[in-house]
Amino acid sequence: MSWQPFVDGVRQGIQLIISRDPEVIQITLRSLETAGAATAMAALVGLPIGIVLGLGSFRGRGFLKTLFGALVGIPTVSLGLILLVLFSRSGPIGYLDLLYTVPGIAVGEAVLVIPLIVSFVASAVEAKDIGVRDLTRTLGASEFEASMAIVREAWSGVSLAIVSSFNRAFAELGIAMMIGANIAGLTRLLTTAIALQSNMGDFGLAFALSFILFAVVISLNFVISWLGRER
Amino acid sequence: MELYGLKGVGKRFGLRRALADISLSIGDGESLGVVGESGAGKTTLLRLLAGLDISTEGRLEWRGRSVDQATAAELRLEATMIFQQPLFIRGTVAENVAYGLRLRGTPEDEVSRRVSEALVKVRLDGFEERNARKISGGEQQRVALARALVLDPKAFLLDEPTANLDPANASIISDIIAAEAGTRCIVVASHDLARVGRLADKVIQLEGGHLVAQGGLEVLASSRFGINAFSGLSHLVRGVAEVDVGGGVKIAGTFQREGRVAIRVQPEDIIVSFQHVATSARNEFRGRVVGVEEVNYVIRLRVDAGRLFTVQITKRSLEEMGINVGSEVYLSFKASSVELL
Repeated sequence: MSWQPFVDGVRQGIQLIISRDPEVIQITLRSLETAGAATAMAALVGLPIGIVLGLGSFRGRGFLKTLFGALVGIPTVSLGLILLVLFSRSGPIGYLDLLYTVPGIAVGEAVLVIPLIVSFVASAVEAKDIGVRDLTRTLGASEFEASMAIVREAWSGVSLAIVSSFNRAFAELGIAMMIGANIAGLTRLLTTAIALQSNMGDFGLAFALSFILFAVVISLNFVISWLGRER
Repeated sequence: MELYGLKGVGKRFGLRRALADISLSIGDGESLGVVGESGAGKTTLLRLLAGLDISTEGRLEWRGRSVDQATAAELRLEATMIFQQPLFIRGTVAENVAYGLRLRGTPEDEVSRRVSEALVKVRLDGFEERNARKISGGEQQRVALARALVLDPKAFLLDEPTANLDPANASIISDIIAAEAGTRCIVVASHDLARVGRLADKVIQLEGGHLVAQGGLEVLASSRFGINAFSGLSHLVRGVAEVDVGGGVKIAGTFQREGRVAIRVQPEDIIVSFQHVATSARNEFRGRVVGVEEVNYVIRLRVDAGRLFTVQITKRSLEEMGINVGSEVYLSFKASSVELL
């Protein structure tokens, strides 16, 4: 077995990055935009649900936590299939024209990562709840102020939830492929491009895109970890 | 003035009854000690007094008003609890101490002044910018005290404040709490009878969630888990305290306090002999063995010497000396072994 395809691929990838290949830049920006929009939408929905599940003590809380926990592991291809049917022209929300569009992929990825945000945030908040709630309340905090303090204290868990969601959305393939269809110049993302280039045997571009994918994910994790560190 | 009035107060957690039928009154400036074994209900009682939990039975009053879900927030503004394990919000020592003041909308210049004063009070001046979670356990508990004291609470509730601390830090913390006595209502829960005796002028004992004794320091002496604890009148004779504990027994101690006191001798500090032995020990009593039992691989003798003493010896000593129920023995221990509660 020869290592040559890997070596060539790495070399070509580095060249593409150094020369700022327009296609590579376009695909990268589109991926960032899609994952960013998906994470923002998911956070908007998932954070309040996660906080309520973490703080509350109401009937059905355990069931909801288990349900969201189970949904974290939903196969992306199955979810992509469901969304494909929903988004198709004859589907229930076909009038939104989301199929084969970047917003459509973002919505699909948001649906995928909402359970992840909910589960992570609920666990992080729950872990801080008793101690911080008692402490802040005995120092005079109202129930609302105590809840806000708990969420602040659970920041590292909340940020982990958001970063993980972004990572998941950014590296997602199944939904991007089924909802976006990998249309060049329109819906092609890093992951779908990597899959396509690999199938075509163009390892150079596939590696270049993979490096960027890794670099973005790793840099983002370092930045968030630095921001969330205890000073 | 009465701050707390408890009338048949109880607390249930589901089917478990953590506290039952507690009736007592705590006045402004009064120091109350709460003693009891683990699970006796000490923390539950403190949490009710702090307004962190609401009683499920009876009536708890703060300044004459019943405490319920609606009024507990008012109580929490005036009663602050210190937890056994100090907890901190993310940030520096100063940010933690300032937390309650900022919640109350205190102007920043006043916050800064009061935080500095509170840290001086707990002997941690200069610690303002340190990370509150990265200082030692003793320092953390002192920050927790500063954070509560800075609010100038009417009621100061302490749950085992010196548990798990080294003697030096425990002593500093006791000094800080003792300095607050009389200025506000203090309720301190502890296993440590000696410490409670030092900090409180009234004591209650809880057992299985029930109040089994309340009164002065004599409660400590008569409490079931206060082995060899006695109360009596002390007077100083040539620099040595002599405490008449009744039954013809006068115990000498090295402390310098006269009047009503509670004292204790550890069972392992007492020496047993069959004859009078000339030693430097200031205390020697003749008695009769009324009970012998094995506890955790050591022998505990119950000796009636006018008052009942518990003495700890090894199994080997028991066998070699041939001690049995009915044996006549001498008990001796040093005045410095007598602990003032």
